Amino acid sequence: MAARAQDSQKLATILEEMALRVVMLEEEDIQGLGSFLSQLEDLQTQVTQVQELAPLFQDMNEVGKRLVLHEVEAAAKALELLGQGVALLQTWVRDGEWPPPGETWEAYRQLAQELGLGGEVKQVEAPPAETAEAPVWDDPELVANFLPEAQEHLEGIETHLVYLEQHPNDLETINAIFRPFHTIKGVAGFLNLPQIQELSHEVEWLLDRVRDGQVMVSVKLVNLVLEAVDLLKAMLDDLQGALTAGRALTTFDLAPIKARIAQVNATSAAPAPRLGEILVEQGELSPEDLRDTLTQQKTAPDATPIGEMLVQDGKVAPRKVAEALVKQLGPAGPASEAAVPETVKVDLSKVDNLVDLMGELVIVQSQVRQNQKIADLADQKLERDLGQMARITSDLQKISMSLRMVPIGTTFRKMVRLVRDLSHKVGKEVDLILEGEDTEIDRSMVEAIYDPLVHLVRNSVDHGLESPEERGKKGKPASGRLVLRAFHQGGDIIIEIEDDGRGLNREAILAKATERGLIPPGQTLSPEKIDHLIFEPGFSTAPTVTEISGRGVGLDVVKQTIARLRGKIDISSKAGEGTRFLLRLPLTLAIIDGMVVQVGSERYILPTVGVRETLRPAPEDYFTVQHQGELIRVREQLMPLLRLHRLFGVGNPDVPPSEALVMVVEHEGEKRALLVDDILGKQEIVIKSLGYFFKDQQGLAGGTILGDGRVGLILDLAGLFRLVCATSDF
Amino acid sequence: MDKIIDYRMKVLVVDDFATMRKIVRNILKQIGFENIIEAEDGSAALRMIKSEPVGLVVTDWNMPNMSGLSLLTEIRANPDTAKLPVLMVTAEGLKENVMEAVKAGVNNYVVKPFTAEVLQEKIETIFKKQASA
Repeated sequence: MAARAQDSQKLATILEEMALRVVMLEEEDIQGLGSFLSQLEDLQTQVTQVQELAPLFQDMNEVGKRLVLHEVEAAAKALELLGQGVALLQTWVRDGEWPPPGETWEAYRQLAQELGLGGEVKQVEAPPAETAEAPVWDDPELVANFLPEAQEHLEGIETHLVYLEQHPNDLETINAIFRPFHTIKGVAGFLNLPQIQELSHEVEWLLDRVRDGQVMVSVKLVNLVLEAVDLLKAMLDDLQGALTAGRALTTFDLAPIKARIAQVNATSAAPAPRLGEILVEQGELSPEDLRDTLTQQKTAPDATPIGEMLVQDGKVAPRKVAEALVKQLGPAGPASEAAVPETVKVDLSKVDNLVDLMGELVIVQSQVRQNQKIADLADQKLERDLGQMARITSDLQKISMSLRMVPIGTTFRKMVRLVRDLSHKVGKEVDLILEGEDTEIDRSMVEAIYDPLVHLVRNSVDHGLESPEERGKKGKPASGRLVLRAFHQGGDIIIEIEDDGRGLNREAILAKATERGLIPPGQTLSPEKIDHLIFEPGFSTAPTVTEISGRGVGLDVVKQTIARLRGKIDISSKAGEGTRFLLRLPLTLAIIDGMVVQVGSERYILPTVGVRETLRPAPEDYFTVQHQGELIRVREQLMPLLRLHRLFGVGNPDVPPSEALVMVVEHEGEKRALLVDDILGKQEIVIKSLGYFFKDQQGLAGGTILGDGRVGLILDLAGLFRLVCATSDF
Repeated sequence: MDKIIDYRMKVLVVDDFATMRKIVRNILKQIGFENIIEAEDGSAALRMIKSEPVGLVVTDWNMPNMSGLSLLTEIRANPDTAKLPVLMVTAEGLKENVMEAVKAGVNNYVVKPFTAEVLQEKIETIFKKQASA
């Protein structure tokens, strides 16, 4: 069976090149072997129809592979075999007879036998030479770098695993889970961390089998990998501890998890569903038609795919086949990862320093501008340049602030695992949807909102969403929907936690609040007010204390935490349709929008967020009431007056309100009238801590350096309100 | 043997895992290389190769975005870099990767974890071959 003439010329050329190359080959010449094998592959694809040649190609490939992998002892013999293989192929191309008669064939067969080739492939143990004693890296810095990096990679795994559970055929996701284990194993090998290496190796191996389709993705598998992640994390924590304390590593018992891995590994995968079966299941095709077509397919001379045959016979519409094919192949993976921008890792303290210094630069810059002597120069060019400088410094400040910003996605993704574990525990089905993961927020904020977020998510899964049965009765889909959403609005970040569960039961809330004495009986409240009652201290509507929510912490703690972060929490709910929590938080804790006010000779800053209005009261709007101190009437509403002059002991303590200014401030629904002398302006304020000695100072949140270089104290509304409650004679 | 390798050449280490890059960097330093640069994936590596004179690429295989194989294919496809030596870092048990890489024209490969001696030997083999070619 000779190759056709025009082809044989081409084959002869390739073989000639290969023959030249093979005499030059040496055992260590990986690149040379590579080119040779790649040519061999080319050649093979051109003569696939000549089946008698297949064993020869198989042998030559095998020998090439062993040479590359250093799995052959007699390298010279192996190289010789390759040479003779090429010679045999050359003869075949010339004469068209296989096997070619003569000595070459005999010699080749002899060599192949000596090398243990032909059919049964001899298993050669990998040489241990290169994996020799790993160097002990007595480099704590390296280990210290490894720890956070490994942790970070493990965080990602959890999200991918949960995704994989829903899209079991997604290769990219499997690979994304595989990769961290693979990498951690590699590094652990260098750092001489045998147990971490062993565990990640086990999981890697299991995932490799998943990748090959030999092990199926199942809840059991996902749980097992999650468990391995937890164990690895524990080992990394231990390593961290050992590193700081200078102690030895704890020995973990890996036997149980290894046994379970072996067990999962033993359950082989079910084959992918067949196209015909899918179509029958979807009712697009009758089982009889399928049987007929299958019989036809078997007897047909050429192998036509079943889908094509069904369409040809008019049994199924082409679109249906296409749909079934998509289903067979499994859903597409997550939208291909957007190109990752290049990044540099920087010590956080450097960034903080930069932000701090930028804040001071802005201040000095405005000091220079306000300098009377410079103003007196009245030089237009100088004026323009200063303006330009102000713009640049302000831009610089914005950029330096943005360095501290991180996407909220990391925090969101931690919820994925939480929701998964929770929903399994309480027997509910939950689809968690993350939106706006790229929304950026200050690093310090990210850590601070974690706990409140966990609390709200727990609350939604535990109380908000119903069980699948209950949902079924109401005609809702069995799995509940939980949306975590983040976006920017104005200078704030908004985080929403939305579920499509049962909604708040206002009657129950009212009854409970009355019972707990949170509201006087018989009082009528607006629906919003009722909803907000759940944030009151000592309020909990759960009829039974469950493992999840019964931790003695109510939503009031969430509210307090959010308030401490200068944020607000809101709730909206519709009975039977769901509940939505809305958190409004500042983007950063380092800067606030403030109003600078004059009190006597001092200047104070009020957070703009708390200021409702400013007015100069008419003398008739000022009242003094026994035991209640001074009051100011603002549009028929009376509110306590707080004289900052007296509180801080500056200026005239008895200034008549009608000669000063009143600032109406609000905190947690309560209003107070603050008396000040003047309002100087509104600006962004970089908060500086007052330090250890003033940490107990009530009514002050911090200090800042104002444009003229003097210190301004930032007022803390919550503290002020408490002070007014304690002493009502300010 | 030492004359074969110019230890002042730029060596590019490609790995998505920073710790691994550092390890490889340390080993390369131990061997005597002074000029080591790093990239965290294939596309970053390609950009670097285009902008600076790199003498040797030591790349990991399994990386997100652009794998070591794609990086190698790109390097070989560009006439300017087709001859640039590429050493692949792989792990035990991933022999299929090795074969794929070898066919795609990798100069040599090394199995993790490796010692400085092993890496040196591999690099020497590469440059010995280049010198005799």
